[in-house]
Amino acid sequence: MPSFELIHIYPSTFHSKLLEQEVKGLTLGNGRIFISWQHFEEGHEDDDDKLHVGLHEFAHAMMIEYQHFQYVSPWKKWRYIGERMMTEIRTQETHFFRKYGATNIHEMWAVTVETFFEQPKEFRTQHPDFYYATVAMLNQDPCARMEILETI
Amino acid sequence: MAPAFIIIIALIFYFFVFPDMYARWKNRIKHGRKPGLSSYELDEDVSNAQYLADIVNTLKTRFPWYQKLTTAEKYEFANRTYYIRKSKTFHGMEDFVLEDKHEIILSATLAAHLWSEEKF
Repeated sequence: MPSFELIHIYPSTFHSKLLEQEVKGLTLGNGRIFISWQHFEEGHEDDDDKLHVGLHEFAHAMMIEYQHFQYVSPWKKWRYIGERMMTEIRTQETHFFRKYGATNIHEMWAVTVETFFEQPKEFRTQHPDFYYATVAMLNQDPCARMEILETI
Repeated sequence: MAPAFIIIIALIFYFFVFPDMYARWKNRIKHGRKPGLSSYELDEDVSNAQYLADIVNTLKTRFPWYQKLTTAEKYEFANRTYYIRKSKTFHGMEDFVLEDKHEIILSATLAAHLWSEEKF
């Protein structure tokens, strides 16, 4: 992602003037990514809790880098299913994806990427069509990789 | 009939095939690599070899995703992490003391995210 050259690392949460609140991570369209190391490390150490501020912010950066995926052909299908998921998250008490994903399609994308890398098998089992739409977006299949490795 | 067919083929090449070929070529020049394994580190000096060795050591101990790769993929992944780390500027904010491991783990996370992308 050549547009994102600067990565600012804070020890913990930091105040965003833009959002007027404390945040764990932030990605700006001017090519800057801000990350709380404390929360990055927590997400990194626990690699199946579906929480990873690094993956989350890099997902936002990817979306900005690729002009909100307007020229990425699998996006149309991904967005269609993603919006359906957002409705489910809003209406259901508990859901495989966390509530924050229902904020908007950008957050849904970032939350999905976190889940995709942290709990790929559960993701594929519970929402196979959405999983494979994400495979098409990221052009990689972690479940297939794990299955190949298990046979070696 | 024949001229129309030729015009359609020409338009397909102009709008779809040539831009894709150009993008691939530009990407190859930019990153100095062909698809598959990178080779740009082979003529690096010793300090850069050490820089790459530090990356590999950190990946082995701090990045579980790296352990799930085949030997050839590990080589490619370490190279990508190396390239990403070199291409980004990291800033420690609010007196955060930035260490090599911070830069390496962040770069590796981005490399994993973009693992299948030619343009990483």
